[in-house]
Parts: sequence; structure tokens; C-alpha cells
Amino acid sequence: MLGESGSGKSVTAQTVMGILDAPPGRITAGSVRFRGEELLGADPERRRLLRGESMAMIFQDALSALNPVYSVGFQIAEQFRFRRGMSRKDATARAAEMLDLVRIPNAKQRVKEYPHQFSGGMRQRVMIAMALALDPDLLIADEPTTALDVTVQAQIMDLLDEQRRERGMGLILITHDLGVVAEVADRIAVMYAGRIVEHTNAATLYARPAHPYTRGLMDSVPRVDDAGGVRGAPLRPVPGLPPSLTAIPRGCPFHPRCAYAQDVCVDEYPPLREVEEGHAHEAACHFAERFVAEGPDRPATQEVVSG
Amino acid sequence: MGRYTLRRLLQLVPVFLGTTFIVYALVWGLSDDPFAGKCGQRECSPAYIATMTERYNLDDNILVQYLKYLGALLTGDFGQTFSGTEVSSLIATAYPVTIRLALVALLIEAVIGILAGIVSGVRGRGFVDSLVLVSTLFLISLPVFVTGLVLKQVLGVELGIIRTSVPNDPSFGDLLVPGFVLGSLSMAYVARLTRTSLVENARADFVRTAVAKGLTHRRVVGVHMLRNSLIPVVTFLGTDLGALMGGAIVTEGVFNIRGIGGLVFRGILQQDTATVVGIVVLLVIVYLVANLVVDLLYAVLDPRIRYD
Ligand SMILES: Nc1ncnc2c1ncn2[C@@H]1O[C@H](COP(=O)(O)OP(=O)(O)OP(=O)(O)O)[C@@H](O)[C@H]1O
Ligand code: SF4
Ligand SMILES: [Mg+2]
Repeated sequence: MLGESGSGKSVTAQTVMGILDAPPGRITAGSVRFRGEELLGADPERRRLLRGESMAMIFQDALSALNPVYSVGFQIAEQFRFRRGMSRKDATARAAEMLDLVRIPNAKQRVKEYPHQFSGGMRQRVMIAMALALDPDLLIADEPTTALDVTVQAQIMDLLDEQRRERGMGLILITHDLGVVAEVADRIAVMYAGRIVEHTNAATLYARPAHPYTRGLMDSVPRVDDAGGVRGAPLRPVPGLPPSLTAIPRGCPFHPRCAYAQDVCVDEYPPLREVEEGHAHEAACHFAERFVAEGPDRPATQEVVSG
Repeated sequence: MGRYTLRRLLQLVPVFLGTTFIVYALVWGLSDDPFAGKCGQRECSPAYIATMTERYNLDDNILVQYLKYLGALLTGDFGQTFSGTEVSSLIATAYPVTIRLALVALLIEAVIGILAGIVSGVRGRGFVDSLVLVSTLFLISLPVFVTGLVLKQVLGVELGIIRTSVPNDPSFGDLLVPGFVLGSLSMAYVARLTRTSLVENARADFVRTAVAKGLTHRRVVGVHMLRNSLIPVVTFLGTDLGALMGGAIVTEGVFNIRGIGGLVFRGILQQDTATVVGIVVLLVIVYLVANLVVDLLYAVLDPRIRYD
């Protein structure tokens, strides 16, 4: 799940998990289905039982996401004790195994330590151990590496990827880093102003982005593939600022920043729709087909603007 | 932790010496002539003056006096009043009563205050929350003697539920209403502190994590929100014990409780230095020990505070 800061990625993830702060949060429409089961409007107790067991989540800032006054062992063991009915002793032993699994050295010792005694990377490993404790089917990772330095970022991504593979677990990775997505994602959803504006598999997205916002994002980072971009071309950030979600522009929410905006964009909201038969390629733009057809040899957003 | 405790205990020594010296010097310095008014209308007889000067070492300078007093204190000798009563025996009868009263007050303020704070903090805006906010504001705006006199009048005189005068060796039950009066102001603060603290913590990331782990609401609140929220409350309660004992004088007056309040009051009126200093010295000790306990509890509640 890709999108600028404030585009609603975390809110979406929290809605899926059922941990949205309500109030102020309110779900007015839509649907969240998990293994065919509709979750919006489901019994709260049912949703609670799904959390941890079927779906788990890790957060951007592990320091604030872990309770400062309990040992990491306590916080991991909690799930074994209160969801699996294990004794405190067995649960703590299992917690140490989990720490070992995410390769925290000296796990038996460190299980007694508190979050502030771990480094940033180790803390994120603790979060991962905690999320994996009940062996969930789906893990939502909300910008798990944003707060970490580059080498540690790579280690955490490797760990997530490895666990996903070994457990056959689904992973929803939330990020604003296009480079990270390119490496791990099968399918990518691009979010803008609280909505998904483009959704398809990674290869299609990179080859034939259908939404000008997706193009803008790609132009704003160094190209990962050599196929299209001009080497050494300057990086171009998407012009303008994302809208406040309390005052979303009418029509296409992206139109104030879009170089291709026409009158229809200001008046009519483009719903998310299938834009490329057979590729499961959805986009929310009136002119998506045109952009798909242009393929990778698209002109950069900025050139269109200045030209 | 052991070394921290030791260090804190050692730190108590200079604080103890400083505060007690100031009290000692202030009380003796209240008037130029320690014998003024001591012997009714007449001048005190030279023999009396000689005895008292000898008893309180009045010929020495104030520092030496204090040191001699301190030396005696360390052997458990609190000295005598002007009339020759052992201060230690006065204290021995009055102190337990006030300690009991203060503990009852502390218990009431902790239990009711925290419960009210939790109920209003967890429920959020609504009837209970408004009730707690209004009633605590009510208690905060009322002076203690008003609460005391009103309760005494209504419960004691009109309804006859409680005795208007607490017996010499009061039981827990006898002290319930006076304890409530003494603790009412702090109880209101505790309720509000707990509430604010809970509301702040409810938005904390780690609470969201606890919810995301699929823990029950009860456990999220009771384990993950409460402990963090109670840290400031515990600090307040600990430091409040000393304040309650010092402030018991009004409540003791209203309910005729023979505790240290009346003793200190009379001691000051009669310039009975030994009594006043003795009681205050003990208050200082209670205060210091309560603070030490709070600091140690703090480390237990919040492992980020490390004492080594
Ligand atoms: N679907 C929505 N409807 C209404 N408001 C929304 C919606 N999604 C998000 N918002 C608002 O936008 C704010 C930012 O959303 P969110 O925190 O999900 O952004 P984000 O993409 O996770 O950003 P970051 O990269 O900074 O974490 C939210 O606090 C909320 O007020
Ligand atoms: S609908 Fe119009 S404004 Fe919106 S992205 Fe497409 S071209 Fe741009
Ligand atoms: Mg976010």
C-alpha cells in the first residue's frame, strides 16, 4: 500500500484490523472481507478473536507502540497466556523462543528486559515477534522501517519477507517508499486522499501506470528499472501538497495537482474501475486508458506542466 | 536498587538536620523572652528561670542548644514541657491517633478517588463523567472545616449516625467520617488526576497495540492503561500523607479528636517549644519516609526510571 503521508494508509489498516479510534473515527460505507467473511458490522467479540490470531499488525514507531512499563517478554507472553491459556512460565518460555525466531541475540536473557533497553532495530524485531506469536494468516506492517536507518531497514525487510514465505502468511506492507515496494510486493494499491486510486500487480504498475498520481510518485524516485527512464534525469517531486482530508476537492481529488486535468475532472468524481482487460488493473482516473496505452515512455509530469 | 535506597536514606540525613534546625530555631525565636507569660501575671521566680534555663540549655547559643536537643533525641528523649510532662508520652498518645486518621483519609482518597477517576476516564463523556467532574469541583471549592462542620451537624447532630466527638482510642469506624473530611480535597484531586491520566493514555500507541493483540477490553484498560496512568497518582498520594498529617489540625478540631493537631496548637499558644519541635520533627520524618517510599514505588511502576 503506497501513498504520501496523510493519504489514509494507517486509517485503512486500522479499519481492517478493527482498531480505529471511534470516535472520532466513523465508518460510513464500504466493506472489509477476510477469507470471505464481512468484518464491518461483525460482532466486536468476533473481531477481537480475529486480531492476533488471524490478523496482526506492526507499527512504525516500535518504541511508542510497546508498553514502556512491562518487559517485552511479558508483552509477548500475554498473548500465549490470555489467548492460549498457557501458564505464565510456559508463556514466557514461548516468548523467548519468539525472540530467538526474530534473531534477537541472547533471547533468554533479553526477554526480561524493557522496550527502552533495546535498539530501534531490535525493538522492531520485538514488535514482529509479538505480531507473529499467534501465527496469524495476515500481517499488516505499517511503515515498519521508516524510523530505522538504511542497513537496519534492509534487515527488517528481509526478516519480514522470510517469515512471510515460511509461514505462507499474507503481508500488507504500508510504505511511502517506492523502492521498498518494488522489491517485495506482488500487488500494489496506491492511495490518495483516503482512497485507492490505482490497484494492480507490481509489474503492470511499473510498466503501465494508469493514474497520473502513480506516475508522479515514480518520477519522484530514481528509476529501479533501466527500461524507461533517462539515466541521470533529475528527480521530480509531485507538485503541490496532498489535500486536507477534511476538505477533499470535488471531482477528482487529484485535479488541483494533476497536469492532465480537464473540465470533467473538476466536475465528475472518477470511481475506481477496471482499466485493462485481463490484467486486474484498476484505476480511478477519467483518462486511465490513455495513460496505460502510453506505457513506460510517458512524459514526466513536470515536462507536461512546463510545456 | 539496594544502593539507590541506601543513597536515598543517606540523603535524608542533611534534609532532616536542616529542617529540624530551622524549626527549632524558629520556635525558640518566636519571642525574645522565653519566659514571657509563663508564670501568669507575675514575673517568673529566679529559681524557675534557673531550672528552665538548665533544662533547655538556654545559656548556650542556638546551635549548641540544637545539638544537645538532637543528642537527646537520638536516645529517644524528646525532652519535657515547661510544666514537666515528658513530651514523648504526649506524643505517644497523640501520634497514633493522627496517623490512624491520616491513613484512613489516605485510604478513602485513594480508593474512592481512583475508582471515580477510572469510571469517568474509561466511560468518557456522559452522566458519570459529569457527575465526577461536578462533585470533585464541589469538594475542591469547599474549605475542609465547612465540609467537616456540615457533615458533623448533619450526620452527627441531626441524624445521629456518628458521634460528634471521637473517643480517645478511636476505631477505624469512628474515624471514617473525619477521614473522609480530611481526605476529601485530595480525593477530588486524585479522581481528576486519574481521569486525565487515563484519557491521555487511552490515545497512546501502546494501548492501540494491546487492542491489536486481541486482548479483552478489561485487560487493555486494567493492565495496559491503568499502570501507566497511576504513576502520577501514586506520587501524589505518597507526598500527600505528610500533608494530611500536618493538615489534620482542622479536622481534629471539628471532631474533637485528640491527635497532634491540638497538641501543636496548644504548644504554639503556650510557646511550649519542646512539644512543637518534637511533633514537627516526627512529621518531618514521616514526610521524608513517605517520599522515599514513593520514589522506590516509582521505580517499580516505571522501569525507565533506573536507580543505579
Ligand atoms: N478514509 C478517510 N476518511 C476521512 N478521513 C481520513 C480517511 N483516511 C484518513 N483520513 C484522515 O487523514 C489523516 C491521516 O491519515 P493516516 O494517518 O491514515 O495517513 P498515512 O497515510 O498513514 O500517513 P503517514 O504516512 O504520515 O503515516 C487521519 O488522521 C484522518 O484524519
Ligand atoms: S481524473 Fe483528471 S484530474 Fe484526476 S487524475 Fe485523471 S486526469 Fe488527473
Ligand atoms: Mg501512517
